Amino acid sequence: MRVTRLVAIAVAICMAGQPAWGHYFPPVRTVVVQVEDCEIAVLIGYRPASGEATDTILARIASQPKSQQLAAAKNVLAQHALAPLTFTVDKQPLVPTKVHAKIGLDPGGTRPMVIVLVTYALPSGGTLAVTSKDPRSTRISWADRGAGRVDLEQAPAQGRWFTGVASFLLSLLPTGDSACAISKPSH
Amino acid sequence: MGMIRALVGAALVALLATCTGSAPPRSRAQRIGKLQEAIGGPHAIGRVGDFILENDQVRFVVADTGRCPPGSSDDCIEVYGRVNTTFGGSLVDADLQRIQGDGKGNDQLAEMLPGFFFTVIDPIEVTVTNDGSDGTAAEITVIGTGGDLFQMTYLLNTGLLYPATLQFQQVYKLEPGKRYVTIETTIKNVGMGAHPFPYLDPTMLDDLLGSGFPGGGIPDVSSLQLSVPMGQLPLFGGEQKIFTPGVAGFNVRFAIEASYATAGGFPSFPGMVVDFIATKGEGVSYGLAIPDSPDNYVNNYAAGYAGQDITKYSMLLPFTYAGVTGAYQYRAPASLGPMEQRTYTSYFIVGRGDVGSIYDTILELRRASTGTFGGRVVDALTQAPVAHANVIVMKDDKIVSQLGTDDGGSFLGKLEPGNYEYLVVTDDRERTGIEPIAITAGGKTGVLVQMKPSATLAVSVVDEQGRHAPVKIQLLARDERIRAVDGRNLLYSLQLGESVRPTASDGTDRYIERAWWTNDGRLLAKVRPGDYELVVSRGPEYELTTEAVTLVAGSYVGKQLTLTRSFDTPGWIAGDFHIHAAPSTDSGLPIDKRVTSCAAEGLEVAVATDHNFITDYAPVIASSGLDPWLLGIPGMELTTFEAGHFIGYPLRVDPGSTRGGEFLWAHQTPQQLFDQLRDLAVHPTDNVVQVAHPRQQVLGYWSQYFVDAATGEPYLPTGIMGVFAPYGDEFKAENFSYDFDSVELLTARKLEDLHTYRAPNPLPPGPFPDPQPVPGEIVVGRDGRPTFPGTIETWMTLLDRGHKATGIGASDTHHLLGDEPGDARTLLYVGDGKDTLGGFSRDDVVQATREHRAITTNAPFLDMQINGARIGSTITDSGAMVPVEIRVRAPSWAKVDRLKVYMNSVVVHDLPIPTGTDFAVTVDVRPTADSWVVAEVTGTQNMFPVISPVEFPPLDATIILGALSAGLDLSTLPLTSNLKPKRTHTATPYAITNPIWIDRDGGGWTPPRPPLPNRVAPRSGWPDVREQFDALPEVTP
Repeated sequence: MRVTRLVAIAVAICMAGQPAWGHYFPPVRTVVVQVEDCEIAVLIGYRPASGEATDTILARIASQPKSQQLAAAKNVLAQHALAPLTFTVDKQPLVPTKVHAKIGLDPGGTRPMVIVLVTYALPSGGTLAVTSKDPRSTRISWADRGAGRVDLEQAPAQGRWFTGVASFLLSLLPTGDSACAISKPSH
Repeated sequence: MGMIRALVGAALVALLATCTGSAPPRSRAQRIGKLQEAIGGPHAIGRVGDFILENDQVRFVVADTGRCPPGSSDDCIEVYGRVNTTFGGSLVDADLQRIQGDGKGNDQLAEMLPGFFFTVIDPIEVTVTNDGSDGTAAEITVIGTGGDLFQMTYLLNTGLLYPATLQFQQVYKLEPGKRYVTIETTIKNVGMGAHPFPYLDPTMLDDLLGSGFPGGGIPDVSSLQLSVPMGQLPLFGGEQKIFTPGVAGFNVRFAIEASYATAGGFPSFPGMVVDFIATKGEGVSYGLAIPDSPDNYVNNYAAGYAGQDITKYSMLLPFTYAGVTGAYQYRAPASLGPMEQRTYTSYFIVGRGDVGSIYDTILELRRASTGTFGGRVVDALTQAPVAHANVIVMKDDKIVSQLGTDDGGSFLGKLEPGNYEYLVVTDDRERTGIEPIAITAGGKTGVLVQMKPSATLAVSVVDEQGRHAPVKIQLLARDERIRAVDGRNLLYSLQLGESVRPTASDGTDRYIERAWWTNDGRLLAKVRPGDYELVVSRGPEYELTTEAVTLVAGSYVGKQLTLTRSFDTPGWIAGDFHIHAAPSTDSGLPIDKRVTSCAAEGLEVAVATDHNFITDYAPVIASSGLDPWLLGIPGMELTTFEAGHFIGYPLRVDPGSTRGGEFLWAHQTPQQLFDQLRDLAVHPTDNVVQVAHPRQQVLGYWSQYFVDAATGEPYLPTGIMGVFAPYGDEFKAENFSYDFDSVELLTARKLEDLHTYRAPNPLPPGPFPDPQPVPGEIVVGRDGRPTFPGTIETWMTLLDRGHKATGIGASDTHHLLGDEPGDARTLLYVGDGKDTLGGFSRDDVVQATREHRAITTNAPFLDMQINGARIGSTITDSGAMVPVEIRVRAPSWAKVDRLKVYMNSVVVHDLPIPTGTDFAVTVDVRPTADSWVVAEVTGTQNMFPVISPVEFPPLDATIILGALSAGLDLSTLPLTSNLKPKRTHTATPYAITNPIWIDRDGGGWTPPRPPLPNRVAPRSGWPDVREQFDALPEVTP
């Protein structure tokens, strides 16, 4: 299936499927922060709000040449997904080392959605802060995949969703003898 | 003519029988479709999807496999290992048929399952193989593979049985009209070759367990010829008192232990030989027996049981431990050829509540000739019936049976013809004399028993404010004979089923005749006549109130008493966060008695922590009128067989679940267990996960994961410890998790587990394990680690490495007298003015615990402050000397005499306390880096009778290993070494604070030692986000 066709279908469903009584579905952004020994891997799922927000995004995608619409869909949706989020350690912003995105339709088939995997290099120690400028639409969860990288005394519970959270702090413990090499940003 | 009349008569009888219209009784088996079809009662866990097997007499529930079949939806919840043992497919509920009576049922059976040594059935399928509609026996069949009941015995299981190529089957058959289910257990060789038993010869076994084991395992195992016992593992439930005929009577545990001394050695496993097993309980009782068989285990290895009474129906009881009783019934065949199988039979019987009703059925099964013995027990003064008395039948000084009297004082039972003796026993009267009776075949022997009357005692107690407060009331008595001799054979008879009367165990003549826990300080009770001291107590904040009293048979005595407060603890409340009651398999105590006992012991918070059962005390507290005194918090002790016990609270109670909530405990990593407790919590983050008795053998988390007291990290055991180490993935060191909030420093009266064990000076008689112990020094193993590491030392190591688990005290109470709630407890600081009920909430309890504002104690109050900051605080102080203010209060029955102050695991002050009950001191500590400070007080006074001594060694895994080790040299195994902490002792005062942390530079507290490497293992099953992303389908143009 061509992406243009996908987008067209999405638009059609979106338009045609709009309930007569005009239900509004807010944007949904889910963020899973996976802390590893030397980096964090963040999986972000994003669905724009129904109605005008979705229409705007689809229109922007549709404005691109057909051959570039898939890439455009990824870029635009990923930008929206990441826009309100910042990742800092001791207030120093982290720079993504890798960004990957996949798009699809939400289970109801009415709105486009994007899944973004972003990785950031982590320094030794410090406080990792995940903040969202749009807390009402954002759910955050986290897991310590590095087994010991986070001070659990201070940390929120793992594996649970925290909704409406503007900032989310994790105290990082030193990595020990084998310091992590900071990898250069890539795309 | 006569024959014709007889034929006509028989025809008429047959015709009349037909005319009644009543169908013959039937049995039936079916899957339970709705919960109302299941059996109710204290231990009922049958649920929709399990199987009911019933006739006109009895009802049973067989659990389903509990596994989700392949392709199940996400909604399918696995429920194997539901409450007691690891797998499904076992007999979980049993009761009499109660057609017109209590519709709720009265199941008190915990569980019963077949055992092939320590292999049990891991069921693949449970099916109804005959629904009984044809009028024959209804039938349920369980088929499965071999599973390990204990991973610790995996290597032994492998060597003896090698279950991998065996299939197991258990068929439950219930005939109409019978009060027993016939259990046919089949073991089948599904391998390609012959399957010998034992599977490995001694040389191969030596490779597996002995010299071939890494680090050297069990010595001399190559010279052993072992046998393979098969039988059943009944868990009768805490309400049921186990009985076996012969020398034991109701004294089964100690009689088994006594039998070890006469064990003949392998191939006979050690244990007590019994003719059958029965129980006594309220309204229902259970029994286990087998038919005559050439494969009878005891009879085939009779040389190992010299001096014991062996019958053709004998079974061997090798242990009874934590509610599990092993019953070895048959020997395995020497070998099974491919697809060959062997079946053996057991009978599980349900009775009316006494042993006699079980014995009646056993005699019927054996087609024995019998006569009846019945009668009535009345009060000699009033001729009123004596209900619930025990008529004990004996022959040649051995117990034969027990018959219980009903509400009208009547009893009835069958006996084989012969000459017997009987006596009658109750807790509130003197025993009757022993009288002879003769039973003849088909005859009826009746007696009228007149018991001496009891005395009546009435007591009314108020506290210092004139309130009828909950209190404990005890009657103390004296007996010169117990100054030097164990009281159990003088003051009471365990064999006859009498209640224990705890003694002071300090060379004095004092013992406790009876004890009561009251809601409101009022008591009206029947007691044995005698001269007593009436003693009233209400936990450590009150002195003892005493008064002499003489109770005369048939007379009434009334007393009014007032409590005296010993000290106040403003801002602090007393809690017990580890309490069991009837929902626990190994506790038979009704919840109303439990909450009353908590309040009467001066507790203000009680957390219900039944084994794998979420209980809420709140409704019972309300109905008992105890709201002004006690706050109940629902919780659970998530109980594994070998990975430890973990408590969570406050938990949500699911009324739709027969165990209060859904969870798994078998084959889970610690992190999974912790996660489940948090998932079950009322609040996802504001909850407490508590490690129970961390150093208890087999049942303790730190023991089972071999946590090194010096590093706080688990290590891999070698040698003989490795042989008995669980093997599952969940036991890998990397799965050890520190994600718990609190840990029990003191559990019950186990003062010996507090500190690392040091060799006595002088040493007791040897032999000793290698290396040779040094008097007064820590006993270490071959690896140089302490053999019995202390809970306190391990906790302090964790503090040194930055893990701030709150240390607490808890009772782990299962019963009452000698095992009271609050015998170890936690004091929590909830805030000035909030320490009255209604002043603090459940959230305050959780918050105070998580913030380490806690004192572990069994009586003394021990407060500590630094610069005005309380226990649990982190202060900033860069001074060379930091003043630590300490205040100690204790009742006069729990005087303390020594104070130690620790800083970063080192004792920095060790002071005598001259006053004992009221002491204040300020000491300086000199931290050079970020530090923590803890205070500890101890005393030597015997706290009897408020907290009575540990008179009998607690029942723990030592018993099983002791039995298994007969003939083996396991002296290097800590459990079986003769150099180990003394488990029997008086209860002496003890308290320890949680730390105050000192931050030297205000830059945040840094632990004095490197942080622990693995603060928590990754949540198992938590999907890797990279894998999740990769698994998503890619849209391609």
